[in-house]
Amino acid sequence: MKPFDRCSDAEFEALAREAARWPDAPPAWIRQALAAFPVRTEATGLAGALRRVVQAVLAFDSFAQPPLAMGVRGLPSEFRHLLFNTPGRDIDLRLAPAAEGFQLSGQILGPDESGLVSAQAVADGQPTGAAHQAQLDAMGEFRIGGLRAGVYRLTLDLADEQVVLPDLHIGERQP
Amino acid sequence: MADLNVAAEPPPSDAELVARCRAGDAAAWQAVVMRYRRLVLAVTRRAGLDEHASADVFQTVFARLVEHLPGLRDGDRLQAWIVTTTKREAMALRARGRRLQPIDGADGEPGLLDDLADDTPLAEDTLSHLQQLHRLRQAMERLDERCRQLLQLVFRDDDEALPYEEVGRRMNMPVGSLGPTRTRCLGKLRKLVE
Repeated sequence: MKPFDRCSDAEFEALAREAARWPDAPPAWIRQALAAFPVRTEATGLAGALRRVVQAVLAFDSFAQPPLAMGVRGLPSEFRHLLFNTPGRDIDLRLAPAAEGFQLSGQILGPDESGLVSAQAVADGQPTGAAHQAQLDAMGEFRIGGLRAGVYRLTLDLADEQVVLPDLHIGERQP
Repeated sequence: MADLNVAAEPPPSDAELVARCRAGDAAAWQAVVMRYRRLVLAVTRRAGLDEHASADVFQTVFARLVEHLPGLRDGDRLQAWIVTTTKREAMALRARGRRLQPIDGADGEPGLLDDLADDTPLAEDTLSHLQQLHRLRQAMERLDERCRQLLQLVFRDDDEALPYEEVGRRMNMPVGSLGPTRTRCLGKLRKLVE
């Protein structure tokens, strides 16, 4: 194996080509591997006996897929599709550029008839500013607009538990 | 023209991710799986495993890592641990398969004797090469979106290759600027790994 700094431009390009073509593991394998990690739950406050905090895990991110996969879905690259799982629920999110900033829409697939979705901007792990919030509708869907680029923490306040998603990085719009 | 100078900030180190996993952070575990999924798959494939056997090893490696995290004192050794464990599991599965394989084959199928020449599919050179590709792959994901997208389009598999006109259309770039832009993107990639 030749170190990168000793590769000619042609050799480096050949390696980059091979790396770009590296196949991805099937989504089902990835979901199973993610599920191997024990989900941490904890009681909260006065309602602790009835409500738990559950950490959702990412199962799919269209930004992590090769371009062909996005082509199949017919979505231009600035649109982002994410799927998160918790035991008993799937959380389907779509991020799209809007007239100002970004719009986050999604659907909670589970037993919930109502709930509150909050998107809280965070910096260095601490909340900054007011949270953007939306109620789930009868189909379990929600829509939050006016999000600026940055890091957001999404929480779903549902009847029996609070679901916390991994911090979501919302990037700058494509030019 | 698109700004090609912006690269993502450095991702968390393996040591940082391991520490966060040990604290029960599911997002950190997710980052570990997403970071190493391709490398684990590549090692199993290079070992000559079929899809079912690869899937078994893939799950075993990550399940063992969950068990091993509390004892992984040096988080910077994560990659070495993953590669070694994947290799060991893959070779063990191959060995178990061979015990069930007839030594001289039957009905035109290859037997153990036909396969002896290929007994070292995971030599150190091969593993080093795969880890080099892993570094490149991680660096690609730190490139800005335009560079990442361009390299993915021009480096597609041969049977899915696109003509430059189509690449230009998808990138919303004139065909004449694709070559120089590709060169700049490869230069940025090289800086990230050197």
